[in-house]
Amino acid sequence: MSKPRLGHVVLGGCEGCYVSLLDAHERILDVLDMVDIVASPLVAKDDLTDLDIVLVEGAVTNEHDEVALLAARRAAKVLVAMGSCAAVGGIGGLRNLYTRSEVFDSVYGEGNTPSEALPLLTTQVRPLSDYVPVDIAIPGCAPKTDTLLSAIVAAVNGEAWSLPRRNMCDECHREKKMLLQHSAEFVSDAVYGIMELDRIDPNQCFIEQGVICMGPMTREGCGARCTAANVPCRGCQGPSRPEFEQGGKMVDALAALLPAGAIMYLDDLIGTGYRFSLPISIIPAALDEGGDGDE
Amino acid sequence: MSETIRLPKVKRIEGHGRVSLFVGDDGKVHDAHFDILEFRGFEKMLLDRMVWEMPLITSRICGVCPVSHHLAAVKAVDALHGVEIPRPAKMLRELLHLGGLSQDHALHFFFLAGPDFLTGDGAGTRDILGVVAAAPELALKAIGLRKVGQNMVATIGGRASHPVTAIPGGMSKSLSAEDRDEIAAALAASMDDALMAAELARDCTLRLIEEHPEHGTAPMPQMGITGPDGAFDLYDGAITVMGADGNVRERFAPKNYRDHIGETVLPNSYAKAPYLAAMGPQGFYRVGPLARINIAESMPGAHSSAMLEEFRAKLGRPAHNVLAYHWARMIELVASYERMNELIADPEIISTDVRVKVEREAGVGIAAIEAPRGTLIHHYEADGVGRVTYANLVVATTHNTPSLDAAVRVAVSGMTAEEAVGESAVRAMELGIRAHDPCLSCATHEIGRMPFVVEVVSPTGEVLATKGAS
Repeated sequence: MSKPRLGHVVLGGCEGCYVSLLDAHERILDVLDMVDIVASPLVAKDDLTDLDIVLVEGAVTNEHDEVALLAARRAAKVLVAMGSCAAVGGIGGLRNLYTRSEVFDSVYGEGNTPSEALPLLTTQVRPLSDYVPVDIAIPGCAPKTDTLLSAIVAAVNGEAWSLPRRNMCDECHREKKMLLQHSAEFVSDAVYGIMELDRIDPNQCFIEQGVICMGPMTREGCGARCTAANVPCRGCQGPSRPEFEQGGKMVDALAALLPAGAIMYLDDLIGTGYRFSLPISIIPAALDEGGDGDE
Repeated sequence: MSETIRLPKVKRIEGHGRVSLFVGDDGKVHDAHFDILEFRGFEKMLLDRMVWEMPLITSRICGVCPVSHHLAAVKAVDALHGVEIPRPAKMLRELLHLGGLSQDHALHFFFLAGPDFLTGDGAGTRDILGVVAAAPELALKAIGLRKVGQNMVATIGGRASHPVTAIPGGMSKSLSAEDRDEIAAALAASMDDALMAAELARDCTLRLIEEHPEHGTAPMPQMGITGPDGAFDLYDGAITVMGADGNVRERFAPKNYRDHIGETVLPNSYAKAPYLAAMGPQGFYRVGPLARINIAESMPGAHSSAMLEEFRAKLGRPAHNVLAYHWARMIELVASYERMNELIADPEIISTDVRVKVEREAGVGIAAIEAPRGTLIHHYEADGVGRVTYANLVVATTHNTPSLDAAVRVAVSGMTAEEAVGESAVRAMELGIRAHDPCLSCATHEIGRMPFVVEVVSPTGEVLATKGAS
């Protein structure tokens, strides 16, 4: 029996997902035994036809991405959205806060627009599910190596694969005390950047230390590696359910815990609350003036 | 009638790129450019974010060298606040950096560029699958070298992909004695493989240079960071510029980069083109392993010192054939191992004195680091609340844009359109491009990805022929 044909397509992103897959190290050889890789930026073959599985990494950011994604969907039985860019729009989605001309002016200087020989940017950065049905979505920036491998094995065996739906705090080792007690007092008198703490307590909840941590509104499954490394969560797995407003829910949750004025003034609600999920939020995207009709 | 050829997707490089060949009225290729096709707009997205978040946000520019952006950003934010971090934190950051660089160099040599020359023309496909099939022992060694580097990044940085522990003022956590011992053992066990890689790279480089002398016909100045007395240093130091003739022209602190490096916008690429201000807009230069090995006055250990001597004896100083990038890259792998061994043996590496407290304040912060592909500069300005008001990033592949253009040009200059898209010409272009290990995600922080395409374009901009899948 021939092996399943696997393709790997990279849209607008950083290639961190395939690096995470390569971090399987020796186990990559097992993957090579299990599937026939017929298209990938890493291999010489580029035969995007009749695929059993296609891994798509990156978000839709320009007209080439749109074409490549539709071709990948047509060619494959199972489409896997690999990583937060593909699954929920990802960090590149912060571009949606600005019009394209604002972005170009800022990066290249006023009036220096790119030539027509370059692929036209889409007005917004969008996740794959806005364009095509997605069979398996694996958020995470980047997803853990084991998570990627388990999804590929499930796809090969035609098994269902799903994500945990609880939040990151469930796998975080940090103790929550004040958060769980009824109190008229905020848990901290201000909101701090992590560098501003006298001492970063390695075992106490970051929110109780006055540092915004996105754990409560972020899907578990990452292994809580950042909080274990003494750094607050930044929400890279996206919301625990796609219908949740990751940043908005965070404000809700924090309203009773931290002084609202401090949250608004001393931190960056959009850039922290929606760092990886702006494209699936209700925050309105900036549209190009006059609309140039490519959407 | 003249025309432009655009070659489709160059594969096995990080990101999406295109080669445009410009054909003159005589029907011959007279100019060529390597274009970058993606755009993400990071410099805009960074505005209004909190400045201490830069190390966590900019690491997402590149999944292959996230450590470099993480560290360039944190060094710039330290500079903005005028903080001096404790020595153990500095050592941990350098160790993190060299771990990331080792995995990246091993990935490129064995799996991205290596398939062109490691297994010979007869063996299977020219890719990672071909290496695994034709030389399984070698593939396992390559996987092992990557694993040592990535495990170090995971241990010190908190995670292998997009590490998080470098925070303004130092590190969020120290290194345990247990983890230190594990790293030391892994380094000791893989040192021989690093030496083997450097020998292999030497042999391949010398053979490739003999086959492709044309890739040595575009001499350029070289740029890289060096430590005191011009010593090889990937983590910190002054930016040094060596002229194409081998004389050191400039040495400057990264914070003064604007006085020395200009940036122009390219017509057909999403990447910008930096140039040496002293030479004007045509002041192109090279960065990366080849430039660093050309510039270095001394290396960190006995093995790398002997290798540098042999490199210069065989190729001169500065070496200009871009295929020598491969050898230079593996000498750097060995030098990194030597330096990592030195760091891990220092008793202070497990000190818990790894951070100082930092108060938010307005300011300007600029810092540079040698990323795997070359000099990486991060520049931020923030207001008193800590919001970023200005951001500029100059990345390795962007510095190398003119060198990439030259690599394409020398391979096909004077050919007809038909010859230029023929198999041997395309392969020669690919060899030259891939030697640089271009990473488009970085060059286009801004952009990402670059399997390449070749298009033939007429003087009127009409695309006459394309080659390669898109």
